[in-house]
Amino acid sequence: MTAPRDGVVVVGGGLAGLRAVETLRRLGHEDRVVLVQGEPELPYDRPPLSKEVLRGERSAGDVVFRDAAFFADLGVELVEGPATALDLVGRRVTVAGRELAYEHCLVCTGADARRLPASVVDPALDGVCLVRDLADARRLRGLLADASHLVVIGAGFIGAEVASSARALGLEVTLLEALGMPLVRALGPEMAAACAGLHAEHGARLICDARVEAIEGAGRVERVRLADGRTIDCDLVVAGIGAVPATGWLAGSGLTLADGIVCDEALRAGPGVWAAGDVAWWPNGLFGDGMRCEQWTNAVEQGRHVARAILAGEHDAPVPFRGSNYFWSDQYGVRIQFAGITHADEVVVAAGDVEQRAFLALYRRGDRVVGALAMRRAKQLMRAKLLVERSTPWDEALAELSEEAAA
Amino acid sequence: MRIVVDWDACICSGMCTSAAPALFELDDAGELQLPLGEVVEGSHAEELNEAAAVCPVEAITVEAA
Repeated sequence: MTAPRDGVVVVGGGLAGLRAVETLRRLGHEDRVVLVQGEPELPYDRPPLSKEVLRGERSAGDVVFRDAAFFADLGVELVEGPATALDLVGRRVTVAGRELAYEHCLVCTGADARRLPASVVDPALDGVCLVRDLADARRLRGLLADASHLVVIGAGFIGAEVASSARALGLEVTLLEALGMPLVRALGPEMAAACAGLHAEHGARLICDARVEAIEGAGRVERVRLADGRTIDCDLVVAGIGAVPATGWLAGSGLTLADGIVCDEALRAGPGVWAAGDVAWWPNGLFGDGMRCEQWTNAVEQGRHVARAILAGEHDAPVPFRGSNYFWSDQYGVRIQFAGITHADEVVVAAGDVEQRAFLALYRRGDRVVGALAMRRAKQLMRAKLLVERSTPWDEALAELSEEAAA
Repeated sequence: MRIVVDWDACICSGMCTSAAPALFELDDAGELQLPLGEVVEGSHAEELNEAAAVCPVEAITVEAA
């Protein structure tokens, strides 16, 4: 007797979910496929939200990947979420009071922007924004048009991109960083300094070790007050202080939740349950580290990986997902690219010149190359990415990439 | 098969060069090049489709030559 086939329920209509349903259909999956959207919009692309959309080069509507007809043609049922519960034993997801039965459930609910605490800012104060979803970007685009001095709280990649976009629009920009150097934990001190240097070189002010005490104003934001007593006058504030995996709806589901949904090396979270994208924590065999990865490329690769695994069926040994954590960030006309991990024993500039903001740096752990960071060295970075993905011995990687630069 | 690249859309992310290194590469300026040209053998179909699938801006399409 064959069990009834309830098909695949994908929870989360972001990039990972989109790529998963496309891959399922493209590779011939014929059972029911449901995509539960967490936002009112159809799946859309996030990277332009901090760049082209803010600069007015693309409209907010322009970043939607597919129209409704596409999903109808694909035979993918769109259900407006959000999902509120998952029943592991009964294999059902609750969405707006409705129960969706599944054979496989892929959770890709992503991450939500971390918010400023209410002790720092009155939520009713105008002119304080996040930049995470399409609605945020639309709102921020409107506010940028009338603003003259932007304060960005958090000088990570998103904060830096917003700062860069605002400079391009002619605003005065101040970035506030809580640490002694932005991205120092993510990139190590030398590379973090190179990234931080871009701000001053392009007319944005960076204040490190800044602890924001209050965001003040009468109805609309007028200044940011720091714990050391300094104040920065401004008429717009953007907080880019990280994201937290959207797992709240899974509390009590029986899935293991820590920093995201804890998966095995093949992205399985539980019986018939998988996770992909920003929300998934998994042991990444490429580096031997558990990680969660909030990158565009990772969402694509993981969504496709799970789709293939579902198609392969339960009888095939699951294929571990090995991700190289590739991303890029465009700031002030400079492309910063990174692949791998930065938890390293040594960082060496293999090609180019850090001061010129055109270089390739390699990260060594043990006797292997585990990471690569580049500014304006896309060709070498893509070579380095392949070497990282192959766990290439350090000496070999260094020789190959130094030679290539010299050639 | 013919590789059709929407050059206005291409952002030189390099994703295709990872997926299909024989067909796509970045030059010293970081611009995308097609080392084998636009028309390639059918034996490249799998990697070419992979490259098209991972392009962040969907700038790559595949046509029958």
